[in-house]
Formats: sequence, C-alpha cells, structure tokens
Amino acid sequence: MQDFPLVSLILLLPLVGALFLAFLGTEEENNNAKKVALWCSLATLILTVFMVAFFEQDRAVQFLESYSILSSLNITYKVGVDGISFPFLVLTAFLTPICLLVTWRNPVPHSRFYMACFLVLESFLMGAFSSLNLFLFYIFFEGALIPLFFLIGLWGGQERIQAVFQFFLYTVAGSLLLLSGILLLFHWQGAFDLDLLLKKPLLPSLENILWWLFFLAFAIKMPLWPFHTWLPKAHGEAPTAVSMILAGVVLKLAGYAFLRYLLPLFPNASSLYTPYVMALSGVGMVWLALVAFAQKDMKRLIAYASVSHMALVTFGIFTKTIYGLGGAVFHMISHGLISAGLFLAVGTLYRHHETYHIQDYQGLWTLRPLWSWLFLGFGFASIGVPLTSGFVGEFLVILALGEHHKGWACVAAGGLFLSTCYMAWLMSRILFGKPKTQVIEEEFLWKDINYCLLLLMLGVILVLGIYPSFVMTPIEASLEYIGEILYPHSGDLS
Amino acid sequence: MILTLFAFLPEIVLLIFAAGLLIWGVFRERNGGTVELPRTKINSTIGVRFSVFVFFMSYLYFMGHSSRFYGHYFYGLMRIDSFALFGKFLITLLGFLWMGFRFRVIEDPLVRNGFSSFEYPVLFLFSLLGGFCLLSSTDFLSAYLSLELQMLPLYGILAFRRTNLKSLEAAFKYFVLGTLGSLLLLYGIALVYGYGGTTNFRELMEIIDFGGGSLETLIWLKLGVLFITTGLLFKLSLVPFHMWTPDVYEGSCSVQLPFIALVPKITALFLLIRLWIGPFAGVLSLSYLLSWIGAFSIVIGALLALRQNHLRRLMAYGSVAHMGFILMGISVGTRHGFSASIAHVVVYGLSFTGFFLGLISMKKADQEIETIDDLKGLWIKKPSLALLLMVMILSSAGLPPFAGFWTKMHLMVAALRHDFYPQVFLALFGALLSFFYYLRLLRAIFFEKHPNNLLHCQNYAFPFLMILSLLLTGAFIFQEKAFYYLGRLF
Repeated sequence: MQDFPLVSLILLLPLVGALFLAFLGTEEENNNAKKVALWCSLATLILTVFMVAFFEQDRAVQFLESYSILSSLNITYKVGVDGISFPFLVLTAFLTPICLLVTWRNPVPHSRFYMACFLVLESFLMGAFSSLNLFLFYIFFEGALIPLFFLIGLWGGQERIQAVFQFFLYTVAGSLLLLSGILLLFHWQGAFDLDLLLKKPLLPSLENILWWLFFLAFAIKMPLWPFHTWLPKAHGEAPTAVSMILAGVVLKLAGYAFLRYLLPLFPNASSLYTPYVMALSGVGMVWLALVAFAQKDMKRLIAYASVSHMALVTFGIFTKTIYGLGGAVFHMISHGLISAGLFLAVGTLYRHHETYHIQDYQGLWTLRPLWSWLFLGFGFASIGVPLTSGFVGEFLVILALGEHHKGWACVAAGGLFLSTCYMAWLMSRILFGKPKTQVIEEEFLWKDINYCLLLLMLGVILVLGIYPSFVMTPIEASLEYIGEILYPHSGDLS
Repeated sequence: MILTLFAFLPEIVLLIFAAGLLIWGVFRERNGGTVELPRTKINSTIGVRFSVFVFFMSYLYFMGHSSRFYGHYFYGLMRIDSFALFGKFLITLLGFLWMGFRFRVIEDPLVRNGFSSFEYPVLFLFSLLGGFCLLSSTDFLSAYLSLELQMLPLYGILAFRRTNLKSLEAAFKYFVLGTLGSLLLLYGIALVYGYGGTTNFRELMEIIDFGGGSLETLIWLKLGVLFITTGLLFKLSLVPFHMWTPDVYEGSCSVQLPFIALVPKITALFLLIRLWIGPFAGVLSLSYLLSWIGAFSIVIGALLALRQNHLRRLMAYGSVAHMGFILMGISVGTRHGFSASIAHVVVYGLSFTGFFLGLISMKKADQEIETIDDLKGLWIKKPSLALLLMVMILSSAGLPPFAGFWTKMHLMVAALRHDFYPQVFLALFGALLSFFYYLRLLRAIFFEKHPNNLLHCQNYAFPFLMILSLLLTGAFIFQEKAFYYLGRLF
C-alpha cells in the first residue's frame, strides 16, 4: 500500500471534480453541482480513511511520492504523510463535505463556481499539509488564497469587498515575505527539499534573518496578535461554510507550518526568539479574549475567540517540549472542529432569525431547545470542559508551559479563564431569559441537515475528548522525530 | 546565394506581400481613397492569412531544425541562429493573431474607424518585416535601420484614427519620443564606432575591452554603451523613460494595442540580449545600473498603476512593472537570467494578448471597453469570459500556480544568485503593490454589480482564450523542458 499514489489521488480528486464542474450544464435548480462536489469530497474522505487504515505508527514519513518538476532548482512534487500532517489531512477531508452539506438546502447563485472553489480549496489545503518540498508548500499555501478570495468576495455579506481585500492583501504580504525567505534559503542552501535543508546547518546570522521572514508570514496567517486584524472582518462577512473552513482548516496552516518548517529549519533562532513569541502570544491571548467580550456580533465574538485560542497553540509550539507540541497539534485539531461547529450553530440560527446580534436573542432555550443543547456542547468544548476535546489540548499546553515558563503559564491560564467568561456570558445571554418572540415549533432533528452535522461534529469532539490517543499516538511518534532535529544531543524532547 | 534566399525567405515573403498589397490597393483605389474589403472577401482573406501564418511557422520550425541555415549573411550584417528564429516565431504568432482578429472587429461600424482600408495591413506587415530583420541583425547599422523600419509604420498605425484627438496625440508623442530614443541609440552607435572603428557586433566583441585602454577612450566607450542602452530602454518603456507608455496605450485602441505594445518590446529585448551576450558582455557597472532600473520600474510602475481607471493606462503602467522584472533577469547576465527573461516576456505577452482578446470580444452600449467601471457586472453577464479573464489577470499578477508566478520566481532566483538582494526585495514589494490593481480588476469583474448592465459579449475569442488559459495554468509542468530549450538559444 505504501507504493500506491494515495496522497496524489487525494489531491487530484477534488481538482478533477472542479474541472468536471466546468463542463456541467448551467441549470441551477437541479443541484447537479452540489451533488458532484459532495460526491467528490466524500470520495476524498473515503480515500483519507484508507490512508488512516494503512498508516503505520512507527515510520516517519509514509506514502512518499516524489516527481521532479524542475531539477535545476530542486523543485520536486514531493508529498508524504507523517504523524503531524496526518490529523490535519483527516480534518480537512472531514470538514469539507460538512461545509458542502451546509449549503445543501439553500439556493446558491452560481453554484458551479462556488463548489469548484471549495474543491480547489480542499485540494490546495491538503497539498499544503502533505508537501515535503518548501516550494511546493508555498504554492499550495498561496494558491489556496485564490478560491478563498472568490468564496468570500462573491458569496459574503454586506461589506464583503472590503473584508476580502483586507484579507487577501494582508495574507499576500505575508506570503511574499515567506517567498523571499524561501528564495533566500534556496540561495544560501541550494535546496528546497526539506530533508536536504535539514541536513545543512545555517550560519546563525542568516538563520535569524530567515526566521523573521518565515515567522512574520506565518504569524499573519495564524493570526498572532497584532497581525490579526484581517480575521474578524473576513469571518464576519464570509458565508457560514467558508467561515467554517477558514477557522477550521486555513488558520491551522500556519500552526502546522510553525511545526513543520520554522522550528526544524531554524532551531537556534527559534530558541533565541522564543521570549518574543511568548510575549506576543500572551498579550494576544488575554487582549483578544477581552476584545471578544466587547463584541455585539456573535460571529465576530467566535472569530476573536479563535485568535485567542490560536495564541494558546503558539504557546504550545514554542515550549518545544513533547507535551507542548503534541498539545498544540491536538488543540488545533479540536479547535478546528469546535470553531467550525460554533460557526455552523450560529449560521443555523441566522438562517431562521437573520441576525448575528447578541442582543437580538434571548431565551433560546425555550424557543429552540435542541439547538441550545448543541450550542451548549460546543460552548463547553470551547471552554475546555473535561471529556471534550478542548480540554486535552489546553491541559497539555498549560502543563508544558508550567515546566519551563511559569509566568507565561499563568498568563495562558488567565486567558483561558477569560475565554470561559465570555463563552459563559454569551451562552447565558442568548440561551436564558424570556424569549422575545412567540414559541415556535422547532424542526425535527433529521429534517434539518445542520442539526445532524452539528450532532456529528459534537460526537467527534466527545470521542476525541474521551479517547485522545487516536490522534495523539501518531503525533507523538512523529514529534520524537522532530525532537531529534531540535535537540540533536539530548536525545529526547523533555 | 540560393542559401541566402532560402534563409531569408520569410522576410522576402513579407516584403512581397506588403509591397504587393500596397500596389494592389493603389490600383484598386476608388470611392475617395479607401478600398473597403467587402464582407464576403474577409473570410477568404482570413484564409490567406492563416495559410501564410502556417507557412511562416512551419518554415521557421524547419529552419530551427536544420542548422544548415545558421551563420552570418550579407557580410556580417545579418545572422540566422536559433535565438533569432525563436524571436521570429514569437512575433509571427502575435502579429498574425492580431491581424486575424482585426477582421472580426471591423464588421462593427463604431469600431471600424477606417481600419478596413488597405493601408492598415500594409503598415502592419512592414512593421513585422522590420521586427524580423531586427531579430537577425548583428550589426549596428542593420539593427538601426530595421528598428526604424519597425517603428515608423507603428506611428502611422497609431494615427490611423484621424478624427480621434487622443489617438493623434498618442501618435505624435510616440513619434517624438520614439525618435528621441532612436537618436540616443544612434549617438551611442557613433561613439562606439569612434572607439572601435566598426559597427559589427562580432568585430566589436574582439575589440572592446572594458578593462584596458586609456581612461579617456574608455569614457567615450562607456558613454556610447550607456546611450545605446538608454535608447533601448526607451523602447522597452522602463523608468525613467516610461512617460510615453500610458498616453500611447490610451490613444491606441484595444484592437491594435497588443501588436503595438508587444512586438517592439520583444524585438528590443532580443537586441538588448544580443548586445549583452556579445559586445557589451562584462560591463559590471552597467549590470548594477540595469538591475536598479529594473527594480525601480517594478515599484514605480506598480505605484502609478494603482490609481488608474483607464484599462489601457493601467496595463501600460503594468507593462512598465513587467519590463522591470524582465530587465532584472537581463542585468544578471547569466544563461538562467536570459532564459527567465524570455520566458517571462512570453508569458506576459500571452496573458496581455489574452486580456485584450477578452476586451475586444465585449462591447458596452456599442462602445469599446475603456475603463475599469466598464467591466462591472461581467460575472453576471458572462461567467465563462470572466473566469478566462481571471486566469489572464492572475497570471499577470503572478499568483501560483499560474505561469506568471513561475517565471517571476525564476527571475528572482537568477537575481539572487547574482547577489542583488535589495533589488529583489524592491521587486517583491512591487509585486505586492501590483496585487492591488490586479485585484481591482477582479473586483470590478466579479464583485460589483451595475444597475443597467449594457455589456454585450461575443464568443469568437473563446477557443483562443481557452487554449491560453490552459497554457498559462499548466505550463509549469513543462518548464524543465522549456528552460532547457531557452538555455540553448544563446
């Protein structure tokens, strides 16, 4: 099974689907585009399940494929899966059909292009997670912006144009920093291939320059305070499904890139600049949690909460211990599910009441008990209540921080406390009290697909919270491999 | 003799066609000076053009594959080599593409503007002939003469819309500034002749020695080199010699523009490369100068394009930026740099052509598409055309995975290998700026609606646009082969 080009197939299938959509008839009513896209993404999910089934715990990189694109510049199409990329691939493959199903019942204008954008986005995101060549990663990393640009700009809310311009130009600025970093690295080291780059040590002065170029690019994408300003607006204006994939997968690209590229390529510079990153994360975590309090719009509140949680991920990554890194990866996966779920829940509410304003809602518990239960579940998972997946990551990161950075552990804990506060405040504000409108008959669960999806995601969150080793075991196996790069002499991470 | 005849058969055929058409037009003169081609004849004319095009392409291909033709001709004035043949290939493609499309537009009375008269293709053919000769010249004399042969008909083509003030202004500006550029070139040639006593590239290559000689003679030589380069930079519209570009582009119309904009630039670029690998090789200070000019062209071109509303003005400043990228590749002076420059000019030319192909297949209330606002609502009206234009725009902007990104990447790598760090950073900054205005185009096409959508689209450009978009999207797979081929040209 290792020789079978499984990863390429996973990357190609959505692209073929997108191409197929171009030749489909133009009738909007019969849902053809939606069907094609859904089947493509489901097939991708099935292939990913195959990948999970044949994944071996002990080897570093599996399903390796390598074809030369340009041998003189060492640009190869080199993809493979290891314990770090594996959960992200599964997350992407899992979330995409869900996002496509969200729009199943709503009429989507120009649905062919919408679905094609989604499929291309899926393919590029999977490509970014599985590529082992720095240049290939960059292509997927920046190429994913194109479908996102159209998804937000064409199907977004009132101020979508401003939002999408801010988002696009901000992230493209970051990408160009990354490109200059990659090209400089190639100029000095003569390779784009990750394995080759890891074998050649860099001069310290060069390493420090490159570290900043890479870091800024990923910090914008992450987004780390103070580079986060594009995110709330983009989230506020994006349609529900796009918000889900944006918060669920796209933001995780940067965290993944920290782990995959920044730490292993520049281990010394990463140690040198750890205090700065910690400071940015600490300020971001607390400050953005406070900002989340002040939001009147539910979507923006969840967006700010995402940024705050991403700061926790950065904390975890830069502890550079196995608990911290593992916790960060786990938290990214779990937060991908939780934030996507929160956006979906809020989007479902919007479909009925057509407002995101917190003050327009009251007493939803009486109005929509089922929705309230589901929202409560996601809210508690976001807070990090034990038995939900949110708890595992937060616990591991705080544990790792407590070992070496006690002060920052307090700050992170404070940030988590604040996140509990605003989530609890949001839930109490909209769920309890006297309903503003007449009591309406809530649709039966199986009639509304959003409820089913929410339930499915909540189930996964609970399963991960109760039995985290499903994801943690492969992560840890690969993290030891990274640990050998980070700490060549000590032998292990702790 | 026979060999010479066969080696220059394309030029001879062009000359016969151009002169023959001129004579035919003169003798067929009626109803007040213009000979209108009747509609029925247009199709047969297109057929003739197409067969001539096929002949040219296959002949050039045949010459490229039989090195029997390679060598110097006319006492060293001309030369046939793969470099020249590749350039001829390129301008034939662009030239004939545009002459073919002209006929589609003249059926429309509002865009007609006298383009259907017989002088128009004559001028095009003479300009193309000049370009062909320029690509083969290996002597300053023949190079200068063919450059003028190429440029003079273009002034005429620009002034063809006699009643249009903008067009006349453009033609006048182009003429004055083009002449200024030519004069600088001529003065430089004189200075170099004064140093070396010859105008032949091959002989100059042996004589010119930038390291030796007295300071006094060296200054005149360097001044000559500088003047020649400046003259060519005028043609390439690089900062600070870019002033004519926006006015000329605005004054021309979308049907003429790709020919006027691309063919002189491609030939000037090829001449610059020929000089750079020939007699002027090894002028290190000039290499720095060129790289800085390139970097500033990218930034200034992008900055000036930001606030433009007129599409052709915007594309003019965009072309300044693109030429800056190309010049950076030339300034490096390595094989990789040259091939990257040529690859970028091909990709830029194709996306530029594609963009204007899209524009001329649209009309807004029976007017040509002129400003960004005219593009509003295209997505609603014709999604397929909007998507094809998107590919052209994104490829010009240089987003992966489109071809424009790859060639720019090659240029940056080549410049970095020459340690042009600050220039590369300026270039990347300029690339970031250029995203702003390319995104404005996409915004108008996709996101903005127009209350009364008067856009009217025709389908005839579709097959070409499809082929171009597929090429621009998937070309990176073949770049290994492409760069291998381009690297062997020099």
